[in-house]
Amino acid sequence: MTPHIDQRLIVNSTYVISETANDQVLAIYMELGTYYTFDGSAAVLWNALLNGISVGQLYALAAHHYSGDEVAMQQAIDAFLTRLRDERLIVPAPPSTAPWELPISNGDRTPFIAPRLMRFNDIQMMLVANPLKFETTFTPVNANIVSEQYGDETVVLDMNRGYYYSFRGSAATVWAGIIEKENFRAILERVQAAFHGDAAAIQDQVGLFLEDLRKEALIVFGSTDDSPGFTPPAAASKQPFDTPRFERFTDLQGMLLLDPIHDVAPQGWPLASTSDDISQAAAD
Amino acid sequence: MKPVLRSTQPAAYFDACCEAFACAAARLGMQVHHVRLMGEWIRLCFAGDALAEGTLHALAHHLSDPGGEAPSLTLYLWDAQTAQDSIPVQPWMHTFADLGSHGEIVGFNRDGFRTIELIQAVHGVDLLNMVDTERGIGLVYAPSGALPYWMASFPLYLMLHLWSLPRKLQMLHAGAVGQPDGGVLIVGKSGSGKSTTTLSCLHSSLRYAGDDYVMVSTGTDPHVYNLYNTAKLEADNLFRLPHLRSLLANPDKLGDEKALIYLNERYQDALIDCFPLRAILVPHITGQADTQVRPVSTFAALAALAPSTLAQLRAGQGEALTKIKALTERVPCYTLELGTELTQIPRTIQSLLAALSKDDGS
Repeated sequence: MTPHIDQRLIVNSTYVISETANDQVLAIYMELGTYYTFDGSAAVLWNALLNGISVGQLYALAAHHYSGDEVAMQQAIDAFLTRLRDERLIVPAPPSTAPWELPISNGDRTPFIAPRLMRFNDIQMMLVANPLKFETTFTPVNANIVSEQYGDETVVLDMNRGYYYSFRGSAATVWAGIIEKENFRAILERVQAAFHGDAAAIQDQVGLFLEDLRKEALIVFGSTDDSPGFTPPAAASKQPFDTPRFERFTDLQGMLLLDPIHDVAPQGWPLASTSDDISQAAAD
Repeated sequence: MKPVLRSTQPAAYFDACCEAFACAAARLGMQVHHVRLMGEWIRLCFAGDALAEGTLHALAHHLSDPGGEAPSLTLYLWDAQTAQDSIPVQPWMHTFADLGSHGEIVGFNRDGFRTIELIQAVHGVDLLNMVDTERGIGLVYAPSGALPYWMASFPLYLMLHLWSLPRKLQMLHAGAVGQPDGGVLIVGKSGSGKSTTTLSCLHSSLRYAGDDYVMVSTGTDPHVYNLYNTAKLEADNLFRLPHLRSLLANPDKLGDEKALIYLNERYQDALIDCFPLRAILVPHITGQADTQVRPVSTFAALAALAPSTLAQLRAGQGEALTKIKALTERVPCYTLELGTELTQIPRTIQSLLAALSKDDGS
C-alpha cells in the first residue's frame, strides 16, 4: 500500500543500528540477525529517515539530488519504503512541526537509479543455538507448559512462572502444529491450509513468531527425522492471514504459584504472598 | 514458594549476588588468580573449581603476580552445581520482554551496570554476566555447572566486552598477527579464512595475537591486544596445516567440535601481547595459488567486521558499531586474496607492513 504523502517515517532505532562510510550504509537488525547494505539513492533516503521525514519530503529530497521522471521516481521510493517497512527497518513517526529544508547543493543532479537494499542473514547462526530451518521441530520447554483450546482461542499456561497466554487466529494454528510435533515445514502447510495470504510473508511471520515463542521460553527448537507431515482437510474455508502473536497475562501469578500445602492462612484458605513479602523474603 | 527479589535496582541485585558468592566461597574455599590484560590487572576469584580450568587454560600465558598493584577488575566466578545453592532469583523474567535483544537484561544496563544472561534454550548455555563498571567488580555465574567446550577457547569474552564498553577499548571478532612495531587485523565472519591466515604465520616473523577474538584500543593510535592463547580450526581444514595435528587438545572429539589448540604449549614465543594496528585485512578465499592484497573501501571492512562482532557480543551494539567504524577509518583497509600456497600468506602480510612502514617514514 502506498503511504500517504504526509506520513512521517523513521528508522526503527529500538532494534536497528546503522553507520555510513564511503556513502554506503550498513544497517543491522540485531533482533533478527539480519543486516543490510544500501548505496546510491537508498543511502540518501536512509540517512534522511534516521531523524524522521515525511514521504512527501523524501520525494522532494530525491528530486533535489536526482534527475529523471518524477512519477517513476516516486513509485520507486514507495516500493523502497514498503520493503523497508516489511523488513521492520522503519516505523511510522508522529507528526512534526519542526521546519524542514532541503540540503544545500551545487545544483548538479545525477540520473536517478531506483533505491535497493542488499539483505544478509549469515550472522543468525551466531545469535542463537539451533537456528530455524524447515526441518526444525518444537517442544514445550517443560511438562509444566500446558494448553487447552476454547473455541477459536488457545490458552497456554506456564505453571512454573504463573503466566498464561492467549493465542488466537494463526497463532493458535501454529501452537496446534507444535502440539502435534510438526516441523516448521508442516506448520507452514497447516497455516496455509487455514489462511490465505502471500506464502513468503506467511513463512516470515510464522518464523518470527516461533522465534518469539522460544525467546519467551515457551518452546525449544530441536530436530527429529520422524516428524509427522500435515494433511489438510478436504474442503476448508480459509481466513485472511493475520500476523501471529500472543498475549501474556500475569494477573493470576500469585494464585498459580501457590503451594497448596504451605501457603495457607491460619483458617486453612490459600494465602498468596504480597510483593513486599516476597521482596523481604529475598532480602532476608 | 521461591523468593523473588522484586527490586529493579541493579545495585540491589548485584549486592545480593555478591553475598551469594561470599557464602559459596566460605563454604567451598576460594582460589584467586591474576591475569594482566591490556596492561591492567584482572583478579579472578573462583568459589569451587568447576569454572577455573575452563577459564584459566586459555588465559594461562597472562597469569602473573601483580605484586602490590591493585586490579582494575575483580571477577567472582562460581556455579550452582558446585555451590549446591543458587543466586537470588532474578528480578527479571526469562521472557522476550525482559531478556532484551540477545540476553541484555532490560533495566539492568544502567547506572554503570551491564548485565547479560544467556539461557540454554536460546543461546545454548546458561550463564549470567553482570559487571559494575564503576567499581570494577563483575559476576560470572553458571546456573548449570561447568561451561560448554566452545566457551573454553574464549573464556570471559562477554565479561571483558561489558567491562570495556565505557573504555576506549573494543572486543572484536577478528584475528590478528604482527610484530612489536605493527600488525594487522584479519576480519570476517566464521569460515572466511581468519584462522587459516593467522595460523599460517606461526613459522614466520609475524606473531600471533588471536584468531577469533582480540581487544583493540580505539583511540587515535589503535593497538591490538592478545587475549587468548587458543586457536580453532574446522576439522576438515586441518589438512592445510598438518603440523598442528599433534597439538590438538581435543583430537577424539573432532566430529562434534572444532579442532582446539593451546598455542602457548608449543608456540609460546609466537604469541604477542600487543602491537600498533597498521591495517585491516578482509580475507577472501580465491582457490588460486597466489596470495595478494588489494586496497578496499572502509565500508567493505566495516561490513566484514561489524555484523559478526556485534552478533557475538550481544550488548552495547550501538556503542560498539561507532567504535568499529572509527577504527576502520583510522587505518588502511585491504582485501587479502588468499591463495592455496599458504607460505605466501605471511610473506604477503610482511610486505604490506613493510610498505606501510615506509609510507609512514618510520
